[in-house]
Amino acid sequence: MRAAAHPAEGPIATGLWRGAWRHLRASRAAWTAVAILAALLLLALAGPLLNPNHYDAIDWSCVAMPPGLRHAHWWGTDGLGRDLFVRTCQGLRISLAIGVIATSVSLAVGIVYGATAGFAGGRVDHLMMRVIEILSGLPLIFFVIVLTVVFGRSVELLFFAIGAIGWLTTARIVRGQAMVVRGREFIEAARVAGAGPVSIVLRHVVPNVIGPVIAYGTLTVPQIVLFESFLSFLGLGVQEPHASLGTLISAGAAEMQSAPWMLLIPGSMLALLLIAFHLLGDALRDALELDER
Amino acid sequence: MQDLLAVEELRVAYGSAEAPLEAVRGVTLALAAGECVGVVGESASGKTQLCLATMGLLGRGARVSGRVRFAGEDLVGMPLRRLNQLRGARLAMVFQDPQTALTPHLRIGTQMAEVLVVHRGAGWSAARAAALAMLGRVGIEDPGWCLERYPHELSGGMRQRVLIGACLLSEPQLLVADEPTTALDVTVQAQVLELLARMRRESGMAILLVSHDLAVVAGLADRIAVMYAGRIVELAATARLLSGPRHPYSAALLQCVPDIRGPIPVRLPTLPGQPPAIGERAGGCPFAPRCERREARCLVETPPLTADDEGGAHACHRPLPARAGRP
Amino acid sequence: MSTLRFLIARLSSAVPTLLCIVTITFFLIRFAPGGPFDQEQALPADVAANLNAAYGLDRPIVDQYLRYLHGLLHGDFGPSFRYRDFTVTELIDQGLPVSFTLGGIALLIAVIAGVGVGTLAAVGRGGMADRTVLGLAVLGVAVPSFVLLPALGLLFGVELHWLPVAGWNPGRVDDMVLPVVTLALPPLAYIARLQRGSMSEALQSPYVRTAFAKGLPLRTVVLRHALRPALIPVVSYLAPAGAMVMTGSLVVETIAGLPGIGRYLVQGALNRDYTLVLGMVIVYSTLLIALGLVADLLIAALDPRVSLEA
Repeated sequence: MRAAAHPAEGPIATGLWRGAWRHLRASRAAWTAVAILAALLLLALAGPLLNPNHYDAIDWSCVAMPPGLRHAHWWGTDGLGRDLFVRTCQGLRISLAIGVIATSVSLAVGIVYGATAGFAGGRVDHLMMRVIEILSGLPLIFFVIVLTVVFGRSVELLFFAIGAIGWLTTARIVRGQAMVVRGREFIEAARVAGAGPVSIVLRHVVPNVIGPVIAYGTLTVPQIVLFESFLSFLGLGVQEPHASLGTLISAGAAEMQSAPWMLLIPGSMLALLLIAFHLLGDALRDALELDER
Repeated sequence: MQDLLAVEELRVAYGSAEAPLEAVRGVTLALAAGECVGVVGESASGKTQLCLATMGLLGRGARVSGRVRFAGEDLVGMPLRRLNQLRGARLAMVFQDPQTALTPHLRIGTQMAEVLVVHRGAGWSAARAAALAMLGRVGIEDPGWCLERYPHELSGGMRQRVLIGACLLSEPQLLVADEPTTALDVTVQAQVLELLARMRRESGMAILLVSHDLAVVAGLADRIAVMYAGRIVELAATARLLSGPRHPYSAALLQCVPDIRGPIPVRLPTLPGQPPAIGERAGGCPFAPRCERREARCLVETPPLTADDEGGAHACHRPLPARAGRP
Repeated sequence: MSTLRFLIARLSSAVPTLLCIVTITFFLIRFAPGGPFDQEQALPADVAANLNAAYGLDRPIVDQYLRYLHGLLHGDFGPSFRYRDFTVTELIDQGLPVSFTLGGIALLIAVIAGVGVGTLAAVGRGGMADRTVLGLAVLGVAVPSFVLLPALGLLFGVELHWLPVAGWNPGRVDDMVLPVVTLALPPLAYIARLQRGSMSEALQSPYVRTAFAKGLPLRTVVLRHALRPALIPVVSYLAPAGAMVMTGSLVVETIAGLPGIGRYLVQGALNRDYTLVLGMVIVYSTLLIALGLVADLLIAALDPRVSLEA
């Protein structure tokens, strides 16, 4: 019996949270993930302050310099002599920002869409779920590509375009919970006459939805980071002179014969970021006793 | 003479070594060739674990100690290769739920014939011919049709007949039947029991018949073992157990069987309380909390299974008097 | 007979889905600001008007849409706006065999190897195969195709000189190895995990216990009794796995310089080549829908209890 499947009343929900917290605290994977994420975040925010180089300062005197601590370019330089440490930090910053912002957009869209479908029910619900079905049958990346064709290629639009796509799972979860609550509404209304829809949503939908949404949200971030890097790699995402992990990897792949570090450094940063988010998401999902999909 | 099956001090435990959950707690039981012994008890009394241990089918998590000797060979810790030569050939098992015990995507003919293919090295066509004949013997009306069916196309009773037939193909010396009738309709139950009895007469195999229902076992078994909380609490010849149970639990079980000859009671008698959960079995007689005859030492001292002078055995500090007659 | 009826029913439900995708994509792209001929320097007005007239862009949008649909029914995906000498249909004819070969082989490898490793892992819990599945899962999550292919190229091409880093000569197996491995790895990782789970579950089912009770050797029990039911989740995953391979093909074809439809889609997106993007999305969607259909048929073949009803 899954605890989360029940519209838990206050005390049960509290128990679920407490159990989840205990589970999380005991999880070594979760702590490892949090440590990695904290380190990456620190690197993204504070890294550029530690190094005197600017991310798009071109220095023809030291082109494609290998990494080393003896000179100012700790992680080496790229084909234009730009400092790779600072550029990687910059790339991390943009990738993380897109990950978090686009995930928030996708969660917002998913919650509104799912709640509408769940509460409306009937034909509206049927139609809305059919749309999800069609969308989820196709590789999301195609839609993002179509959207980049439509809206052009700018970072701000990228946030939105990716966020507008990654909401399918969230919408499904929220719809399910909304339907459960809708079914109970009659009983609720009879028992506590006068409870408005707002308080029902706040007291019954939100507590039940918040756990799954956090867990799937955490799993959506790496997916979106990957999307962004993927698009940037193909030249459809972040544009020069800005750097994201995807553009850095793309540049690195082009130079890998002469300067392999240009590929390996951003590549391993991306791998760390993805692993950490997946570990954390999996741990949260286990802690909250959610099904895999 | 040597027993066909001799279970000695069998223990089956799950969970960690520090806090083991013992499903079977020291069972000793013997079957002679051709004998039918019934095992009766409530669910979670360890009956199924006893059967699985006899077949070497316990899962990875189970820790087994004690011995299960079949024709002199110990099955506990036996290499899989040797075990696979025995099971299916010389000892076979019928399971509780015929709905799920057959592989859904294989035709009945294949599932029966493979026993002979593996154990006798028979060709598939010869094995299928034998399966066809066996389907007739176990009372399937149209064996040729049945052979080509998938399990979901058959009724529950037919499936159990098929399973029994598959077991009998290799003419085993011992058939382990774990609740073979529980999942079936009442009329079909009787037919399956009749089938088991007939097959036993025809082939002379021994049967270990397990059920929660005393009435099911009583018709077929020569002796009956009553299990409670992982132990045998009474073991006696069927007639003796039915007419004069010594252990209070056996007596209580008997009272729960409605007597079709007498007047129908307003309420069927039930046994109050529940058996202890697997983790909660402390010292003392496990039945004591539900027992009307308990005394102080029942709660601290576990009664051993001791032989009585009528060829049976019981594990009770205050047994009912011998030949008390049916209450 | 029932198979035929099932096919017809499924195909008739696939058509509206496909129509939906075509329509949404078509109008999204057409309503986008800017056109295919917008470049750094604006074209003279009369040239732009001529171009628009030549490609039918000056007609009402609904008219354009209906003409496009009409063309599609005759296998005509319209002209490419950028590859001026080619129609989109010609580009598809060129690219599809390459993409199809690579993707098909990759998917086949992913399924066969994934099922094999997953089965071994389920049978020998905690052993080598089990650790391999775990390692694959981490690799599949952490190393995306656009890192994997260059990294493999660095190792096997640049350092070891075993395989070419990029390039495409029709029929040369060497050229295909790294792209196929890169495409196969993500779905392989997922399928291995899926198979490990479903096989463990199948091995604990009552009918497998019956099979063990019959004294069948482990190999027979796994292959004859447990494998088919355990395959069902994997087969259900075929279409998503195909989507994974397609996504990967965009990157792989671009990096390795393979003349497949994935590269055309990326080129089309970079150049805002409407008809090309539209055409490629339609081809990919059709392939995926077909793959879903194949999966449904396979499931019915695996489990006699599933009757083919839409």
